[in-house]
Amino acid sequence: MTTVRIPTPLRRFTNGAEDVPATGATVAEVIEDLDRNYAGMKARLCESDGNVRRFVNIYINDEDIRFLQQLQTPVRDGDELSIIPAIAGG
Amino acid sequence: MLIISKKILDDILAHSKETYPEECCGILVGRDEAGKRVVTESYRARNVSEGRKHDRYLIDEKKLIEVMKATRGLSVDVVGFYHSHPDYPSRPSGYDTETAAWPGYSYMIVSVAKEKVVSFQSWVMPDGANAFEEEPIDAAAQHDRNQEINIGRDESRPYGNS
Repeated sequence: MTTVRIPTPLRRFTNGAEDVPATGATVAEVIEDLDRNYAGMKARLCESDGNVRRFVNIYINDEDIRFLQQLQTPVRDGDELSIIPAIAGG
Repeated sequence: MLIISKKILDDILAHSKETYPEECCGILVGRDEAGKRVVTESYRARNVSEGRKHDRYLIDEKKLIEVMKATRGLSVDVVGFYHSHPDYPSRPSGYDTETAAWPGYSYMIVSVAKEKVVSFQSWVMPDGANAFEEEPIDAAAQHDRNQEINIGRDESRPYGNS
């Protein structure tokens, strides 16, 4: 079981929950599981081609998955997956 | 409605002036109360945009993670962000709109010219929309600040492009 930390804008999908449990052996599988329980979540996190959206960062514990194995990063029992918005503009 | 104390606002405006002619950015923490958003803290963040800090910003995500962790389990949360517009109005630029603003957050923008604050406004991106809507800022704070801003304002300063 993984704990997924949900940023404020996405809590409307989780009935306001700050963190929710999810299962999966990889980040991609955890996102699929999240979407099964909270419909619409995957579309917020991933593009239609399945890749993580440009302004979404995903961390496993304190590591950015971009520097690990991206969506194929292994997730272990007790890990914490955090969804971190990338905040940018001009 | 974004309610923000003079103390917090002063720090945001000071940050905007200190970083001129580059953009500053920071994180707003607070809570929603009966349809109003009350800012209880602001945190300065590094602008880690590479190359064009005069018209681009990217909030240091390490700072954002630190603040998000610090608010866990508390009655407050990250409710929005601020950044400055050197020599550009306090409305969202085209790039602000293009860079996928997150619905649900407040985006406060401070216009600075010649190291003086010209104006500040707050904006939200409604879900499913592709344009920002203005979010009123607490009238009392706005009134106080406008008085101070007008004293030091240079009306002749034209805005550049952003």
